[in-house]
Amino acid sequence: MNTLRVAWRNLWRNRRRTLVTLAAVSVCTLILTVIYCLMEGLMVGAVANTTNLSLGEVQVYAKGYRHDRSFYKALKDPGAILAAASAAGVGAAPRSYSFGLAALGAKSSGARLWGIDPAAERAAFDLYRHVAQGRFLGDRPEKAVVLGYKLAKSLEARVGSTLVVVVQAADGSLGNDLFKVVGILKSCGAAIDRNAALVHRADFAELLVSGGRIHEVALNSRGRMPLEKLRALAAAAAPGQEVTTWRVIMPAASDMLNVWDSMMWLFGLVFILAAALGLMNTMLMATFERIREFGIIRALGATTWRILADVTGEAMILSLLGTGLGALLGLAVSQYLVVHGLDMSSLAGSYSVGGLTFDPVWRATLSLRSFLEPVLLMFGVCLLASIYPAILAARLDPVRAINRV
Amino acid sequence: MQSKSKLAGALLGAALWLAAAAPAAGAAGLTPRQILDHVDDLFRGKSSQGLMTMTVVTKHWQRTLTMQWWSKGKDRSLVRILAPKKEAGTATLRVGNNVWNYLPKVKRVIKLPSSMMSGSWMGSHFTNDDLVKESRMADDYTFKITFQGVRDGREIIEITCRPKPDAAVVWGQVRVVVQAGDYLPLFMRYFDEDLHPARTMYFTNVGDLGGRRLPRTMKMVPQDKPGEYTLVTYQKMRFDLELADSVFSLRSLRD
Amino acid sequence: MSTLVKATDITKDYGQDGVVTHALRGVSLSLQPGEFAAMVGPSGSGKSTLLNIIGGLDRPTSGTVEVDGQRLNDLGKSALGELRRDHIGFIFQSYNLLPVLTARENAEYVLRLQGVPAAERRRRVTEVLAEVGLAGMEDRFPRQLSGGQQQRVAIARAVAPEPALVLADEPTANVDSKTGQSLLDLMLRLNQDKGVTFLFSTHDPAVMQRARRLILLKDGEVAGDGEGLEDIDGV
Repeated sequence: MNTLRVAWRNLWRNRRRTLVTLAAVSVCTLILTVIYCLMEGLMVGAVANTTNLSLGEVQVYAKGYRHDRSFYKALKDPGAILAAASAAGVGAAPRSYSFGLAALGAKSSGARLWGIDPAAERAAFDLYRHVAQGRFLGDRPEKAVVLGYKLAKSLEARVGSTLVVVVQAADGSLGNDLFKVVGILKSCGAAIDRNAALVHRADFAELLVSGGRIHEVALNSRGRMPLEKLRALAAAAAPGQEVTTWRVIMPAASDMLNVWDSMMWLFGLVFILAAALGLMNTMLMATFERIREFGIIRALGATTWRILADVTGEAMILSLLGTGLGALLGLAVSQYLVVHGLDMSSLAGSYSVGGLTFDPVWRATLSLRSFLEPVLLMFGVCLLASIYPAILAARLDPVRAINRV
Repeated sequence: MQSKSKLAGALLGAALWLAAAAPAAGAAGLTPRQILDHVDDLFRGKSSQGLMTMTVVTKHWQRTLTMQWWSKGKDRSLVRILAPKKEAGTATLRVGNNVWNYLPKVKRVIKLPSSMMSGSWMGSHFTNDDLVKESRMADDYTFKITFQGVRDGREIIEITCRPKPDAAVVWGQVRVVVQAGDYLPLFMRYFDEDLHPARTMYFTNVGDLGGRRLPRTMKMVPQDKPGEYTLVTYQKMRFDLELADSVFSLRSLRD
Repeated sequence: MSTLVKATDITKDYGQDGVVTHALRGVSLSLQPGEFAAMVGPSGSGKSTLLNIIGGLDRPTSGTVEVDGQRLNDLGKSALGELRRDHIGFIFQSYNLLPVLTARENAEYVLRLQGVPAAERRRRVTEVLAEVGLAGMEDRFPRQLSGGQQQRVAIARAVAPEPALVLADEPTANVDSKTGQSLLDLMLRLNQDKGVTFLFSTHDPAVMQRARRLILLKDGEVAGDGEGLEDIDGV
C-alpha cells in the first residue's frame, strides 16, 4: 500500500530516532512478555500444584456438606457427574470422607478417612505420585491404607504396619477393622499430612456400612477447560447440589492470585505506558518537523483522514516492528524459560504461601494470556499513543503551516 | 465418631456416678454446696457394679445397647457391651484420665487420644470427657441458689453454677434443678460459653437401686439436634462390693 | 466564457492582542479563463493573503469570492478541500515537494487524492513531467534535483490534474534569474498551449514584464490593474 510505503520512508528520515524508539518498544515488549510468562508460570504452577494433587479445579458436594461435613450429606447422583466429566474428557474422582480413629500399638490418633477410587485418582490427580514410602492403593480393595506423613509419624507407622481403624458407622455401630499400611505420602499440604488415611472406597463402604455414600466428586481438567466452563458442566450434572471451585475452597490462595494479577496489570501498564509515551514523543517530533509538509498536502486537498492515516500509518509500522521484534525476542527467552526455568532452589526449596505450593524451579508458561495479550496490548496502546500527534497534524491550519519554516 | 457431642460420656458418666455411695440427703436445709455434693455422690460408692441399657436415637439411626459395668473409687471403671451381638464384647476401660477401647472384631485394644476426648462415646450423646469426669461440681464451679419454690407443680431448688476461672470445664454455665425435700436431681442443663443451652440431662423413674433411692433413668437431650437423645436406664445395681484391682486392667478389658 | 474568479469587496483583518491589522481593505478582482496575471506590490501589501483567499486556504473577513462558479463563502472546510483538489493548482515559493516522494510521486500526488487509477496517473504524469522537461528524472527524489527542477515538479503537480486555475506564490523567488526565466517560459507555454489560467504573486521584474496582466496591490487595496508596467503607476 502506498500510504505504508510513504510512511516507511518517512520513518527513516531520522534513522537514529526511529531506531531508538524501536529499541525502546522492543525492549519493553521483551521484558513485558518474559515477565508475564514467568508470572503466569508461577501462578499456573502454583494452581496446578494445588489442584492437580487432589483438590481439583471444581468440586461437587451435597448441599450443606461443606458446612458441617455430615457423613449423611452424600451426593445424590455421583454417577451422573462422573459420566458428564468423562464425556467431556475431564478427570473426576469420587470420594467418601469420615472421621475416625487410627491406632497402632499404644499410639492412636484421629484421622480423616478418604474412601477413594484409586484408578480414578490416578487418572485425574497426582496424589498417587507423592508416595514417599511404599506404594499407592491398588485398584482392588485389599484392606490397605496410605497415610499422610504426619499421621504416620504420630502413629509411628511404617509400611507393613497394621492399623486399627475405628469409626462410627452409618448405622450407629462402632465400625472397626484392621488395615495394612502400604504407603506413606510425601508432604502434600497440611490437610493431607496431618490426618489423611486413604483407603479403597469398597473397604470404606464396608467399614462405615456406608452403602457407598459419596461426599465429593473432584473434577480436574488440568487447566484444559476454563474454570467457569468446568463449573457449569458440573453444575448441570449435579442439580441442586453445591458446586465449588478451588478458588472457593482456597480463598486465600485465590485472593493472592487475584492480587498478583492486578499487580501484573499495573506492572504491565507501566511498561506499556513507557513504550507508548516514547513512541508518542517520536511521533510528535516527527510531526512538528513536517508541519510545512502537512500544510502543503492540506493545501493540495488532502483530507484530515488522509493525514490521520499517514501519521498513524507510521506509528503502526513503528509499533508493529517494535512489538514484533520484542515479541520474537520475548518468545525466545520465554521458551527457554519454559524448558529450563529459573532454578530457585539455592534461594528456597519448594515453598508454600497461602496454601499454594511453588516448585523450586521457576518455569514460564507460554499462553495466549501470558504472551499474546501483553503483545497485543502493547501494540494497541502504542497505536493509540499516535492518535494525539496525528490529530495535531490533521488540525493544522494550512496557511500557517506553510508559512512556517 | 467425631461430632456426636456429649453423648458417649453420659453412659460412662452414668456408670461413674453410680460408683459412689452417697449419704442419704434427708436432712432439711442443706447448703447449696451440700446439695451439689449430694447430687455428685448419688451414684458413687467405694465400688459399684450393674447392668443398664442405653438407647441412642439420632436422625439417622436408632439403637439400643445392653451393657454391664464395674467401677471402683472415683477413677476406675469398665463397661462391656452385652448386646447387640455384633458389638458384644466391645469394652471401655477408664483409669484416671485414660480411656481404652477393646474391639473384639479385631481383637485389639486401642487407647483414645486426648484429641478425641470430646468426641462421642459409642455413638451416644455423651462424650468421652463425660466418662472421665471425676471432680466435684462444687470444686469446679461457683454456685448459688437462683430459684427456690414451686415450679410446674413441684417444689424445687435451682442452683446455677458458673465455672471458676481456672477450672478445666467446657461449659459456660450449668443449672442444676433438684427436688426440694429429697434433693434428688430433676435435670441439669448445660450452657455453652455464650450461655446458650447446649444440652439437658433429665433424671426420672425414681426407685430402688442397690438399696438406694435413685432416679433410674437418665435422658440426655442435645439442644442443637432436635429429636435426638440418649436414654440410659439402670436395670440392676450393687454398691460397695469387693472388686479386685485386676478388674480394671487391660487384660480384663480383653475378656 | 464566464468569469473564472470573481472577488468582490474583500477585506481581511488580522486581530492580535487587540491590535487589528487590515491586510485587505475592500479588494475586487475578476479573472477570465486563460489569463496569465501577476499580482505585484510591496511586502505586506496583501498579495499572499488575497492569493490564499482566492485559493480557498483562508477566508475573507467580508466580501465574496467565486471560483469556477462556486461561492467559496458557502463552502465548508472539506468542500473547500475538494475545491482545491479538483479545481485549483498550487505552486509555493519553495519546499513545495514532499521529500520522501520521488518526482513522479510528488507530481501525481493530487491525482492520487482524486482517486485517478494508477495506470491513468502514470500516463498523465509521465506526459506532464516530459512537458516540464524532466523526462528521465521521474524517480529522483527532491534532494537529487536542483531548485529549478524541484519547481518544475511543483508546476507539473499543479497542472497534472488540469485545474481551472493555478495559483503561484512567488514561484521564482528562490531560484536564480536564468532558472526563473525558464520556469516562466514553461508556465507561459502551458498557458498558451493548454489554456491554463495562472495567477501569480511576485516581486520578480521578469515575471512582471512577461505577465499579460498586472495587478498592483498597495496597503490592502488595488492600486492599479493593466496590461503592462506602463499602465500602472508606482511600481
